[in-house]
Amino acid sequence: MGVVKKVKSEFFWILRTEGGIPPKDIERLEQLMSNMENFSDVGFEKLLDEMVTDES
Amino acid sequence: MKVKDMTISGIRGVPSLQLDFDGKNVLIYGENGTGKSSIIDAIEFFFTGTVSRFKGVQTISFNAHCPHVDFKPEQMKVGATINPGGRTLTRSITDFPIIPADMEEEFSTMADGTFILRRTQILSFITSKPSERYQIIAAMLGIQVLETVEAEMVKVTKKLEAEKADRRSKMVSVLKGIQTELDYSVKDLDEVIVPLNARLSMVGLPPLEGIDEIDTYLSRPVFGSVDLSIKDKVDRISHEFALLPDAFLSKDISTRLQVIEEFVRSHNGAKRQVDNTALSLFEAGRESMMRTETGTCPLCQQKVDPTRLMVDIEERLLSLKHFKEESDNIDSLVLELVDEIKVAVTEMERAAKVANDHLALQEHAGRLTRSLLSFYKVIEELESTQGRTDNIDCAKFDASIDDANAILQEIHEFGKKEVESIAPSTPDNERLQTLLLVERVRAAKDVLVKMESEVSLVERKLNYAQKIHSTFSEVRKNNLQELFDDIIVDVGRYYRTLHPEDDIRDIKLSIIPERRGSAELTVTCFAKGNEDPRAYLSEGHLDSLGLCIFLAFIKRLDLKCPLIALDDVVTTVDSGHRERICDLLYSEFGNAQIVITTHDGVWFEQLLSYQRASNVPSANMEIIAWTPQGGPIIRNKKSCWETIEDKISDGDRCGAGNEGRRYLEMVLEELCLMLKANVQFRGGSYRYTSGDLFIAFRKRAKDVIVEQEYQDSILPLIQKLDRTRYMGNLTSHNNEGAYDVSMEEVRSFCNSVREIDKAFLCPECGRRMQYFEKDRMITCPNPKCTYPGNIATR
Repeated sequence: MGVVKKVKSEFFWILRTEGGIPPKDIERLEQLMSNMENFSDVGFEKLLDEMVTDES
Repeated sequence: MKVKDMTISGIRGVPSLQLDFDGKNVLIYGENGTGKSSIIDAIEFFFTGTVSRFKGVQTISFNAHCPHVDFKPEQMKVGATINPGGRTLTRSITDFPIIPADMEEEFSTMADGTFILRRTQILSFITSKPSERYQIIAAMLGIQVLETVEAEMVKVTKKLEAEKADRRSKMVSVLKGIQTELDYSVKDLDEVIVPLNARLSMVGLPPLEGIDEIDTYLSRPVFGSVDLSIKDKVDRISHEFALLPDAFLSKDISTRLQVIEEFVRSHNGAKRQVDNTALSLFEAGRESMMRTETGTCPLCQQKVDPTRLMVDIEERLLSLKHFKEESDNIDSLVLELVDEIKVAVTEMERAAKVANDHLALQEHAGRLTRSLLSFYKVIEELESTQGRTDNIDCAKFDASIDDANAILQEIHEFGKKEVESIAPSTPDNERLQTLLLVERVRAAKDVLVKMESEVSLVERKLNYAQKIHSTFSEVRKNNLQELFDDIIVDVGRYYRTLHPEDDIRDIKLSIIPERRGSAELTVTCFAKGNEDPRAYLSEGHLDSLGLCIFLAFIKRLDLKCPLIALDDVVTTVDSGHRERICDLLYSEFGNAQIVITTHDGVWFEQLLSYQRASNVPSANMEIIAWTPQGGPIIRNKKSCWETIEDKISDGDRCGAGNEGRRYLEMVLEELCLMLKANVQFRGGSYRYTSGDLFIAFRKRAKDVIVEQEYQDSILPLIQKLDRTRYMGNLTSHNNEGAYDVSMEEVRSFCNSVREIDKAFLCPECGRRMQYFEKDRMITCPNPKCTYPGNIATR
């Protein structure tokens, strides 16, 4: 497995097992990082906004 | 995947060139400046669409400097036939090759050009900063995207941290405001209760039980005579009267009116503006008199005395100018007066309105309105008569001003009394002030609560961002470190293969935990751990280390990297170690097509010899000449001995002798090195002659070879070489003595070199035999050899 793929897979595995982030938000993050080349601060910030909005 | 052939057009020093690799490894030999690196550039351009050595240098650019001098960027073109399938692909700036599906992965591995190693890259990798080194590694492994993602995460985390700090700072500022009001140090809202209750207690008001009670505190019916709205009322009335002036006009106005009146009277009433025309007329008359100089009056045509007339005109002009100046001053004065009286009128109208709002002042309002009439009249007079004051009764106007100012004073007095009558008593006022303080604290509390909620939102986002970022960062670092550790195992193995005798161990490539995107390279050397490799390694060893790191990374790319190009990379490595590099390259990377360029004839011969011995298929080329317009001229490169044989059969005595001399130098250099002969030290820049090397080699051979069989076979060969070796110098350097040399003598010299060469080659694999002191043996270094032909030594 390529390093990038391995990092991604381990990263999400840890997020899921460690807790602290709701599963549906992990899914959203996974979607956001599906094309890592396009990952941007704007998209990441939008995700965080959605996370806290849903929380409240 | 293998490159079968390549056609290059218009790149660097190559206007046009056809190279036939035949899908084999490639050796290209050529002097400096003959186009070797241009061929490597063309290979890089074919696979990547660019040439990396033109990137990141301000003074050169790909478009300006990569094309051949007679070509434009769009004319650069590289075509290649790729096996399997013999598919021909072409790359130019505008046309990209359509990669066959079964080769996509290999092309993608090579797309960033990391399959090419140039000598400058080796040193720059070792000497670069950890962050730059990380970038090189990231590019090689295609992991830049991890860095990009982390950078974006860091950006957001930092932004949220800044937002949180900003809101916190604003909260501190609001809290400081409360602190100033209470004159008491408070850290948060809860701490406000103590000083606030103290203030309430001082004025006999009940305390607050908690900060939340502040919202309802002011609506309690317990405050008796304290009417919170009284303050607004007092403020409103005070403000209303405070806006009125202390006086409408000063008496100075009538004094200035008298000045105007005086001026008008002394200048005979209303003739002020006439004089502009008179002034123009007299000026015209003076000019005409000066021009004509006749004794006739220009106005009445009567005979006059011109001199006297001019004096009269000048006098009149002076007087008129003086009058005009005064007249202009009066005009300004009139305008100023009108403006001032108009302002007074506006103030009086406003004062009349204020007075009208209060029953007790309505009479004052009427008086002010009547007074206004005389003011209106004065304005009208001044504006309509342009300064004539004949009809203005200054004394009467004076009286009106006095009257209006007196009414204004009475209005002010009333205002003062009114405020005093509604203002609370001192104790009530103190309570009022305290309650107003409570109100301000309540308002500040609202602001703080709102900000607290905003901070909480930012903090929640920040917690998520930090959690995501720290997890990602840790996973990335751990994986990269694991990867580096894997790679460094290969680096260490390769390095030990090249330098088994070195006390260099524990080569480390480490991620620096506290720094993003950095890779530190250290070695343990002479028992000193974690040192910069430059601290103890020679330039040749650094080159070796760089090559090992490059190869380890290539190895990491497994079989996906089908071509490796080494552009003149081992120039500082001595020939003994190069032998091991051959071994490393062809044994570890046998599946890749290896393209090596060099200007070093000895290294080239070593590679050839290794290839022959190990049956490595190779297309070998020599660049024999280069011109700017023609580019490199290439022929298939033959070994020294093959070249000598060609020249002998052509009857070229000098050519054969010259090649023989080169062959002798190469063989002696190798033998001295492999037998560990003691060559007399001549200093760093000294180029050792074949004489120096021969003496050392002969002594060493005589000293160490003990077996009679080898003494009998090898020592005569050395004697024969000693007898004939002068021929090398004789046939070189256009020596006149070369004319008397026969082909037979040249052949004998070359044969004697060949015999010595062969005497120390492994009879099984053909590699150069080596002296091993521990085993007291001259033998083949190839561990796979089953019949190495050992020569026992002392």
